[in-house]
Amino acid sequence: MPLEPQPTPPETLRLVIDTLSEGVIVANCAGEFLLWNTAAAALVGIGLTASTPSEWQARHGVFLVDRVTPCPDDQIPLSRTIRGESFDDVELFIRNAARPEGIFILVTGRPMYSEGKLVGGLVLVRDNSNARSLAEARTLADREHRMASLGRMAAGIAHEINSPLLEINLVAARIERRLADHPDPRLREALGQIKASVERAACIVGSVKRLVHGDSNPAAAANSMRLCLADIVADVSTVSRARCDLDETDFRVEAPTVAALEVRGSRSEIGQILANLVSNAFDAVSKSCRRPRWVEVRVEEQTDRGEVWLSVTDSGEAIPPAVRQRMFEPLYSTKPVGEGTGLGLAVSAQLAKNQGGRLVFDEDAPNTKFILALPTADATVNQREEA
Amino acid sequence: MNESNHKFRVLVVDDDAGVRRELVYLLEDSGFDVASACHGLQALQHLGTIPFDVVVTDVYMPRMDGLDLIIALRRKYPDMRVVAISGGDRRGASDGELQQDSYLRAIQRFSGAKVLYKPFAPNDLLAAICNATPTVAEAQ
Repeated sequence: MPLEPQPTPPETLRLVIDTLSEGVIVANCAGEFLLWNTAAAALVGIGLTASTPSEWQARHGVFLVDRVTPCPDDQIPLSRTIRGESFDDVELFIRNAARPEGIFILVTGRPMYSEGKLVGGLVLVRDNSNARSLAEARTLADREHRMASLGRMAAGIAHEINSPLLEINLVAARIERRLADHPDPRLREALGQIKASVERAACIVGSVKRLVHGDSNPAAAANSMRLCLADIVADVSTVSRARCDLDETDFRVEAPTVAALEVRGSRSEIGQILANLVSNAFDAVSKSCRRPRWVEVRVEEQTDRGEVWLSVTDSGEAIPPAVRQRMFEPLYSTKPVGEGTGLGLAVSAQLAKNQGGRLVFDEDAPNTKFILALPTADATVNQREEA
Repeated sequence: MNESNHKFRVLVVDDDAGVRRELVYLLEDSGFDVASACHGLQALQHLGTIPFDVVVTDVYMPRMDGLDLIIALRRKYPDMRVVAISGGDRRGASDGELQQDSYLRAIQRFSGAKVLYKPFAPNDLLAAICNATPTVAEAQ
């Protein structure tokens, strides 16, 4: 004999929903909380007090899975259900005063109808942190594996290339010895060109190794040459021009060729920092809806500090404060897996230190602006003499 | 020339034929008496037959590498002057740069050998040889 449904006493209903490990939250169409269980309160971390849907993001600290982008009001799960939407396993991140480390949640939502009329919505919330931690650990392991592979490759390439480079150097020197009295000076110039190219190729190999391993080369710093930043800017500009057309971006460069804007250091390492900043700027601009799109590279002297500032500014979206706090950490990236290693800024900051300078984010600039501050060539000499 | 009127003898050890040949040309043009070997074992064979004043050796080589050669030299020829040259670690250890650096530092500490990184300028090698053997400058 089939059982007849019996009215459920409110205390039994309360007992049932409090027994569930999943959080349950119910709201009416006005966004007023009608019901929630203890699991919901524990997951969200703070009490579900009366508030309007437009306040939910800030009040409960609801973010997208990048952990830093506030969840748009129209994407808050309960807001979606009271608009009549159904969805399953939407992942979000909750961080608020009660949950400062944050927690990943999976949310399933359903609208509620009574006699065909939308009367509210219900969401089920599950803790997804363990699954997330596993996925992130795997991603981290993948990145480390990739870097280790890159390291092995770089070490192998360095060895295999440095020997033929030495051979080229020695052949050029041998020809130079034989041509000691040759009347045509252009031949000597050509040999000088060969030697300069060998040096450049060796610098590139060294840079790749240093980038992968993140260490410094004191010998290179000791032998650092006087460099005109405008030349380095010109090199990086040449490489970046292709992206201007691709991304319809105005690439502005202001880098005067004057002695005051010379520094001492490694051309390839400073070039690497600049190339990285410019690449990040193009990435930011291409993802932004702001128009016009532009990236600006500027070199200017800071006379009172004895420094030259090489800045890269872009028209992209502002970097959220939470990202600013962590963006110089190794392996921290807001880019999708596969697009960024999370090493660019960390490595650039290390390279800047190797050059006796620093890489900073300009908090006061109206646009996103990074500054590579380097001691002027003369200031470096004075420091060495004082040392 | 020194009192015995012999040119300083340098043994060049490198598995890269092109580098080996050019090092020989450079040192011969600079007034040294030069022989060459393509790995550590061959170098020890040469050393067993002719006396040398300086050994210029690559670090990473097949059969017997630079460190093993230097260890053998220190045992058999404790006064031998050594200049090590390296292009990096071709074995590509997972912590390559650190391991490579510590390996080369070990060579320097253990043997007192000057380590030059490829590609170096010819004068750097000549200076390293002169510094390794203070009497070379006057011997040439």
